Amino acid sequence: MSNIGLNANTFQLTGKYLDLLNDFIVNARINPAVTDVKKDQLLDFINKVIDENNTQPQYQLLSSIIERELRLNRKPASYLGTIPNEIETDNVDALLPKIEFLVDVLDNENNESLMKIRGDW
Amino acid sequence: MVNYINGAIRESIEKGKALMSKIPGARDLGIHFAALANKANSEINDLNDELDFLYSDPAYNDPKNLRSKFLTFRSLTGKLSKIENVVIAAISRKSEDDEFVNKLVYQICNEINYPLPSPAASCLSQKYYHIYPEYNLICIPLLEAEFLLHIPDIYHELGHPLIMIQNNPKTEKFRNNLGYFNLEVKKYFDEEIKRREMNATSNAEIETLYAWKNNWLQVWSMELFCDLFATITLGPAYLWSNLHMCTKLAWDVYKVPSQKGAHPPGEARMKVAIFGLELIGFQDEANTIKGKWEEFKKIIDQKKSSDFSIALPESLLKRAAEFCLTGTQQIGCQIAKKETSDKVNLLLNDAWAEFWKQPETFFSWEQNALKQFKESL
Repeated sequence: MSNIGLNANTFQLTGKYLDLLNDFIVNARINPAVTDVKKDQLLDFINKVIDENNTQPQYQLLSSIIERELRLNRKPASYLGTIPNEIETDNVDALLPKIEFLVDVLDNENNESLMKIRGDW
Repeated sequence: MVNYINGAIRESIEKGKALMSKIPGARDLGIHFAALANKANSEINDLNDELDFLYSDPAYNDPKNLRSKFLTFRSLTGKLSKIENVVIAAISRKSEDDEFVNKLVYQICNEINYPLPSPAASCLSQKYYHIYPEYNLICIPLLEAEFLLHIPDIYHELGHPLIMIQNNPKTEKFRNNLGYFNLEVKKYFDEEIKRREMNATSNAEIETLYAWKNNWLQVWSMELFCDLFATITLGPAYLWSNLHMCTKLAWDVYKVPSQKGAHPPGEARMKVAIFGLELIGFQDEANTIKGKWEEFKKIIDQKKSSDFSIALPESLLKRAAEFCLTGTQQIGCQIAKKETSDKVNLLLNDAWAEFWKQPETFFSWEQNALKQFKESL
């Protein structure tokens, strides 16, 4: 009944999608035409976190983390809404800063949850 | 720093190998931790492959991607560190009581028709009861194997994997019910925020509402569902155990935390569990527990704060109980009834009944009951 289970969940979940997003960025910086497999995975993730009516608790948790950071960084709630179109049209210039923002959000959360699990926080 | 990061990656690969060598072989490991050890071995192996890829991949070695290389390095070493701190620590600090707690957890899972494999149990937790769903490892404080009154907390921990393990169809309906409930939480807070925005309420007040909404979606609804899962599958003993914990730990039972990641207040946890208990037919027991809880709050002089009913309205707590009961039924778990006579259920509920009959002499009853129970497992 400590918070460890919840932190372990956040660590696991943010780590999973952090890998996906970071991998996408690394490839997109080198080759603007990103492979379809990575596009599909990214599209699937983005569509789930921006879906207000998603009923999966894990995506609701991620959406809530991202929504809080958007608000704190004074970005409009619609900031991520154009990503699916930017992925489809290979608009890497518009897409990269947004994915980088998501990477920073998930990385912070991931690191914080690990420190809490280890008792450093 | 390019040379640095490559050197650091090589060092981490060696650390991964060193961690693998710390995992005991079959003879020293025993039965209960074998699956955990296999999982750790395979995870370390995968992480070392990923570190190796990070070291040599041309895209990651492009100067444009140096920050990403550092970031991925931190993420991978974080995962290694977690294995070291959680899995290797549990395996290498085996306790004599592990045998008993593993049998106990298995027996509980069996009795409630838990849909997932029974977790391995380690008896050396320094941080109260907790669970790592990804390793299927539950950690129990050292002395708990010798006492009964907090054992109900195991049922709460068993709720976490039902929520956290994604894509398992056996527990999907439980997760869906939490998801539907969360949509109601979102709707409630969005309406509250909208109303205040129309009334030009201060930004600070609106930010507090956002913080509570985030806490619900990130922590509170999951914690309350785990409280409810424990209530629904065990019955009154879980609520008594919760009261017992509150007397020792959290006295500010009405304090609504707005900081990130905090547990829901004690009053909300007790209230939701009382609603759950009433739903499964323990009305008299719920009234008795409610009475003792009110008495306790009076003794410690806790009064409801004005923001409590806004942050944790009774309507949402009742809905949580309804959704969790539906989810628990839909995944086929056994719901506690007054006539339930399963070994652990009976022991824990009898223990609390006995405690209230004669609190001061309970200890000798407890030791005798525990001895007989251990022999029968």
